[in-house]
Amino acid sequence: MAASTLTGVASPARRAAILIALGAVALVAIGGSLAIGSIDIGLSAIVHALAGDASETASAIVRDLRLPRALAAFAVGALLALAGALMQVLLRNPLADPYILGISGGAAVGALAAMLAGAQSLVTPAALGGALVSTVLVFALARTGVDRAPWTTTRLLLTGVVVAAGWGALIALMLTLAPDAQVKGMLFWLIGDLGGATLATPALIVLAVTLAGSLAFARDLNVLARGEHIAAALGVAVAGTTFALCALAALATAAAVTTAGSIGFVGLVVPHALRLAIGNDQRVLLPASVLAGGALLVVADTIARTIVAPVQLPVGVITALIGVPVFLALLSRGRS
Amino acid sequence: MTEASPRLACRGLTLAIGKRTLVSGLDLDVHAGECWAIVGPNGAGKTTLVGTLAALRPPVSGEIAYDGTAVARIGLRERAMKRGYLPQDSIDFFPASVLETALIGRHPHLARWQWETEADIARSRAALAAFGLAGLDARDVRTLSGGERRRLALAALVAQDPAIFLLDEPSSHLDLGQQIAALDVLTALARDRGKAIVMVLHDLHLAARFADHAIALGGGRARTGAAARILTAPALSELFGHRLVQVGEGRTATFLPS
Repeated sequence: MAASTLTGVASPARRAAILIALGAVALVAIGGSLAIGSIDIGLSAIVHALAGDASETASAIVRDLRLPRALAAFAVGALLALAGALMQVLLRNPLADPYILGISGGAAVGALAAMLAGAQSLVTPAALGGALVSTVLVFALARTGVDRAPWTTTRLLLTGVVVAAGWGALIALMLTLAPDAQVKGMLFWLIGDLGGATLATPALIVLAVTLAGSLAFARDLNVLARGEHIAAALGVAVAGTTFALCALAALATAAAVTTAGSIGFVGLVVPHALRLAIGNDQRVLLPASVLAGGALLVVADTIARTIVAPVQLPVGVITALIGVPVFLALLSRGRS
Repeated sequence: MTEASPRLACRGLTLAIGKRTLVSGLDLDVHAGECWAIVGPNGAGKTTLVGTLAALRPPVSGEIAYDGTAVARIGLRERAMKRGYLPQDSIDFFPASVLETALIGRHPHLARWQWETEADIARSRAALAAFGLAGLDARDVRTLSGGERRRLALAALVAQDPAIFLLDEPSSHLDLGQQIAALDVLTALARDRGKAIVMVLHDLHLAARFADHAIALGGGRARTGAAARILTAPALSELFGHRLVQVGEGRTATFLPS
């Protein structure tokens, strides 16, 4: 393709190069997370373990412990970055994040309630239930406004913020009432932790569904990013498209928090940083966010479980420690 | 319907904001090649009228048709190929290049999974050049001046290539020379390519210069007809509630407050 003659729009070659590069980064991150840990395993041993002809110990560590956790980390990071990218465009606010509609609060209330009841096996289903209840609640409340419009993003945002505040109060209440022995587990869940993530398949399926669904509307999203008036004039069914994509973002967020608790900063920082680096064409930005968000969380989780080993940190601490300075640097660069 | 169907027609159009009726029973036929100006005082309903004609907001009552087909029977995407709409103001929420922004106009012409083609890019570049924005392709829209942004919005609309142009104050943010240049481009599209144009204009001298027909909106009613009949000092004095004096004749007429 004649990439050099094009300015102001990414050539097909450049678009492919961005996604291939990010895909390679994600693969390296996953490979690293399989190799690094209490026992370091070499590249050839990993390949043999994945192929099923390695020693039993290496095989068990790679296939039963590290691979599910790495895939779960990738899926969660990818889901959060995808949901963040969607919410930022739908709310036309580059500072929006996946939790802005209160989904993580609902999931946290469910998970903490299950912990408080001593039903450790119910934490994941309770988190999922809480996320779904919160999502339905916010969308239903945002619909019943006094004006004739079915609903607007502003009302959705306000409803989400208020509902999130309500969940926050319940979370504080449960933390106060919980016996001391349970508080640490609750805090780990609230900060976000992949220690309990043993099954990546559900999150990976939700990732495939939400990515495919949002890519089908990627050019509509490009138009929506210009504002609702312009989108409507260009033939986008604004209310229906916004509603459907908010629902996809909510589903992605619910799958992420159900798998690993409310990990912060990935959904905010990854799409924001990528937008500055590669532009705001959602057809590239959405898959790029998936790859970069997944890779970032795999790296962060590898750090979280090795940096002060044998103690494992909640991965949310690492994403925040990486995310805060990166975001502040982006903000100050944007200002100059 | 027949080939002689007007590009844009409305029958019995009644508009209201809250309980205030802006206009009732408006009939309008805008044919290919015609250029209409909507003039009137603040709050008369000019923006509401142009938005309603674009089928972006429902009227209280009445029918709107493009090329003889009721808008209710035209799908959203097909509507976007029939008519283009320029809002009064637009905000740039995200970084984007000038060329990407002009290419947005091609959205209704592309299938769901289709990417913009070289032809779309060429068309958008030509539209940018027509409004004096050639060579700015890679500039971030957020670094443009107000006048450049306005011309970019017009270029995106020309790239969209609709049959009907509905424009809410296309000349806002533009200096005197740019106003004339931009409206020259638009009226040439009506004259040479059979586009129909309806635009809100605040400057009466621009209405007199560029419009062949006019809608005077104010006091809950609308007067429509040939520009020469609507844009007269006595009629405009009544419309704006202030005595205006006409200076010059025909296309170079200006109306000054006495």
